[in-house]
Amino acid sequence: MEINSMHTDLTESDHSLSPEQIALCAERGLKAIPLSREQKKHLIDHQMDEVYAAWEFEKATIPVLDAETIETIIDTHVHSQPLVSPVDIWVKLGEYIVETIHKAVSWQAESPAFAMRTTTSDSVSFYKKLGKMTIHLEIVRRDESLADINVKLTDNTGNNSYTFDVELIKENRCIETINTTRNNLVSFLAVAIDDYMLRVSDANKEIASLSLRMEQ
Amino acid sequence: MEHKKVESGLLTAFIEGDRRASRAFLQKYGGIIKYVVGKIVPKGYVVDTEDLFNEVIAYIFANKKRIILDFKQKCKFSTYLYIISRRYALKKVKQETKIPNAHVSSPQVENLPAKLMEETEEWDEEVKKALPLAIKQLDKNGQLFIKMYYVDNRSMSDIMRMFNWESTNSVYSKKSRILYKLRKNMKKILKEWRLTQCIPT
Repeated sequence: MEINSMHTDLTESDHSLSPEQIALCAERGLKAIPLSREQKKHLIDHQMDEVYAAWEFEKATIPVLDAETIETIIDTHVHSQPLVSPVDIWVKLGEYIVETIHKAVSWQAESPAFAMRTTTSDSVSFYKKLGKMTIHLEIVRRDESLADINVKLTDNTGNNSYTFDVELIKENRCIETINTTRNNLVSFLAVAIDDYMLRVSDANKEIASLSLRMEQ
Repeated sequence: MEHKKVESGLLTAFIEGDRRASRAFLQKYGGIIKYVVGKIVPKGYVVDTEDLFNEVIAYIFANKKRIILDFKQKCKFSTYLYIISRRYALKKVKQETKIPNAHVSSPQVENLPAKLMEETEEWDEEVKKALPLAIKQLDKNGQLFIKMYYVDNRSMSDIMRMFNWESTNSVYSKKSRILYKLRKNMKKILKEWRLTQCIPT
């Protein structure tokens, strides 16, 4: 198993408690975390060891790494340049909310084109100015694995554009194209979490493309 | 509050790959990984602790963004990081040693605890046949109490802490209530067995 894929494996399995839940349980007792019946069963059968270990850890004297070891680790694992995210917009669909993990500097949060909607924590919006046009993007959470992607195009004075195309591309293949001539809003409904490209065109001329990552 | 802000700033800078923040992170939390590695290698198994330490460090750095974003700041970061490091290290040790439970795992509630058997010594032998099933019929808090008190022999203070109780009296009264419930459950089970004439030998 690859090292990068193991974190999910370590934290999300069946009814097992997440590391933070275990830590909270050890620090503040059972009342600090609302647990389902199944989670309690899992805790009793498989995870009490972790609680005991956390108690032991609290009382223990923790060693300090020596300077040489720290420098070796930094040289091995820290790149001289900060890591640049390969995607423009990266969101996480949580249990109740959509969280922005990363957005490219050229994208602004909270698009004014979607400001008229009720502001809830289950959607996020972004916008980017491109010459005379501004592209607006909204991601609305349906559940932890599905979201709706809404796209609007306006000119710089805020007037809506009614004629444009949006392509939803996954792994270099276009999975859906929406062409509008009357509506100012294009919506891709119930899109599963994954990596996508969105390509916005106006009269067959590409205006912008953005990479979007949605994860659970 | 201020402490949380400083902590949050350090973690954000660490995610972004800042060398100074990474150094500060390792000075503050690196020892936890060393502690984890020293603790979890099972006795009698030869596991290179230096390799394991490097693997856990590599895991933390490769997944730092996700680990830190998953942290909701409800508990101490050190405890959270300890649990994550321990889980990963245990997984690696299990792979290395090829044993299903590399770390000594606690006995399950299903295995009858000797301490409980001693305490229920005066109970009717026939009644005690229903004990395993009676334990299963307790609510989850009752089962957790049995596990902590009888199976894992945890101290009073540990049990009080887990259940958020303030005095040892709560432990004793909970114990009495559980023994009462157990006896009640066992009688009920026995009655059903007698009705269906299927008492296990």
